[in-house]
Amino acid sequence: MSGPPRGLVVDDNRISRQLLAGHLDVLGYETVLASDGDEAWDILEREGTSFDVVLLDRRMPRMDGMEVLARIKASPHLQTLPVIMQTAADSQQEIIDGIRAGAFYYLTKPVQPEVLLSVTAAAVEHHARFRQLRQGVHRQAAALRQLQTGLFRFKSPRDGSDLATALAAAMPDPQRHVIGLAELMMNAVEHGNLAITYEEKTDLLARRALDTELNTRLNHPDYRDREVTVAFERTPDRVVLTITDEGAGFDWRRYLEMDAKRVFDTHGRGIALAQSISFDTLEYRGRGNQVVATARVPRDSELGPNRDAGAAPLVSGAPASLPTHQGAEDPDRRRLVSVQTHLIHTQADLRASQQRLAADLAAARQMQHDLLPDPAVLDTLQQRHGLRVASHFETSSELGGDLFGLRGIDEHRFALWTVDFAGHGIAAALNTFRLHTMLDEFPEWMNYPGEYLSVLGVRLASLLATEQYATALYGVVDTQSDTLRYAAAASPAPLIANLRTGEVTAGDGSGVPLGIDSGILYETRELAFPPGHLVLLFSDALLECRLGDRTALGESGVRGLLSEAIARHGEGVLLEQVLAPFLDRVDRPLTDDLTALMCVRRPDGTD
Amino acid sequence: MQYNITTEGTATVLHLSEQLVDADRAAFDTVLSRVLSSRPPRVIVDFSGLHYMDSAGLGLLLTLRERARAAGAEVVLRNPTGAVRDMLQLARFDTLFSVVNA
Repeated sequence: MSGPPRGLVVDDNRISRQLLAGHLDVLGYETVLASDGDEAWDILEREGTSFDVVLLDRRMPRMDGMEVLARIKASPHLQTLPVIMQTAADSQQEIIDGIRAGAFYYLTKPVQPEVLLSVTAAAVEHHARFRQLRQGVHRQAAALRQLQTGLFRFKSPRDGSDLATALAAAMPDPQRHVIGLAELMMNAVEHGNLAITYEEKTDLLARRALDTELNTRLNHPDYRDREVTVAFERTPDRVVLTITDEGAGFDWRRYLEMDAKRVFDTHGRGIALAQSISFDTLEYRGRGNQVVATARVPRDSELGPNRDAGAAPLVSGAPASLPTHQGAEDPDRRRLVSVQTHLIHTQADLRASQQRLAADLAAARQMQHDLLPDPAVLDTLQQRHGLRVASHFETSSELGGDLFGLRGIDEHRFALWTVDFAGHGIAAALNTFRLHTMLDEFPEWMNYPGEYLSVLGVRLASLLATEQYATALYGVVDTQSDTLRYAAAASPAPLIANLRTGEVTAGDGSGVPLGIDSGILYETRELAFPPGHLVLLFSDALLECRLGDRTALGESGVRGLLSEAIARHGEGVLLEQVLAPFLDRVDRPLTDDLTALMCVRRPDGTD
Repeated sequence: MQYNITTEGTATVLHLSEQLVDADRAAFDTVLSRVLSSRPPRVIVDFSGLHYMDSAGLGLLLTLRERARAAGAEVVLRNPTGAVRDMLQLARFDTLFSVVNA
């Protein structure tokens, strides 16, 4: 193949499709897009052999991903084409089914770009190797079919790979054995003689430095005399290969099947692959520097076209099959059961780790709630200033990026604020913790909203990365002058409503978000806020979250909520009554954190 | 997000259409690399076809600003309309970028 690798991206969701294609673009791949299984299969039938990898969504209308996968694996021309499936998280059964059906890898949604890129690169590399190996098998086939016993030695990975293709040709099902054999030869050199550890290999692959390192070690005095010995022995009912290296051995038990810890690594599958696909038994001996692989010779009644000595061309033979209906004694079936059992263990490990994570998140969530105003402080403020304060704080994931608060300044003034960090989840939540410790650093500016936001902005700009910023509104209510003086940093406008008439006045929320540049000065604005009025501060989730009919409220919608709630419930209107029409209809889970803070000045100015 | 890239004199023009939201993060990042790869002295982001941008979209523009600055390019925001213009106005992006209507 010449030119860049080609990937076929199959997903019924336009945005996912383009996102995936965008990632492959980064790798310099050529991509072809298909929006469902039918379209994908049309393309594969027409030009399937031109692709190096398929990214396939599991759930699609018309022909679903499993059907496409099954057709690919049943097609002699396409069966080695690696297929990376994507599925919703937590669909363990789908993963088991997919592995049975021959998927190269499973990605769970939402797909992490780094994982996608490394898995795709690994798949394309595998495919290129398989192509080479299989062409090799074809060339070697005729000569070696009569081999009875033999002893072979080699040093380099290239010689190992050549020997693998040669010996596979002498085995009962060359197409099936060559892959596992090549993996075992490679392991004997890399991890045996050249003593590259699993962790080192992970690192070398990530740095694209594996080949260089292999060459260095092949020439190094410590390693250059080491050889791998391969003994081949044919009996009437089986072929036995014994591969011995001169390394220190390794803890092979970890690698015989997929290990939960390694399930998302891009290498380390060789031994499990050899075990589950290529051989009937695989046995490590001693300290792990010797492995015995056995392939059963089918009885005459089981013979497939590949056994047909010399006559049938090996490359276009019947698909390497994984029969599943031949009873409990069938070794293929046993291997499938073993893979399945292992996945169940993996699932248990994942569940345990999820539980730990859930406990940590619950603790963090509690800490975040502790940042919100203390009920005792609220009570004092309500008494002193003749207020009724209510809030709604709802995060879109376990932790949120919103924060609000109130603080007394003196007998007739108090401050209130809402802050919304860009994004949500843990990164945004950590910023709320940082900010909370900062809020008390400038007591001298508390009474001056513009200045307060300006100094806060300087502090945040020195701490936050580029895409992290916060929108904020900071206000001071003065019950003597009946005003709300405030400053804003790209916040939704504060709303003041007359509790008698329902008339709503909006302030101005515009301002550069906090944390982008230091040295931004914020202006102090003012709204009248006499008794018998309320002020509503809120995060943009209230403006932007989609309701059931796909529209969002926008500013006029929020003003409408407020005036309608006052018209219906009068002066005693509650925040939950204001928000009910939104909370009842909004799509869950929320797409952003929601904060609303309502502060009512009682009509008589006291309780 | 849909986009296409053209040139006007020495400037590279990134035409954005549909919407710019959190889900476009990865794609936008790729687009930026492409836009800046020719090291243009000036990058014009044309919003004529963009009808919606949320607060995450603002963050993406900040990334653009930072990366353009590092690459020595000036950024101009052109022809924002409707909700996009309102969002830029809310965040006073006219103080961070030059905003023009042509």
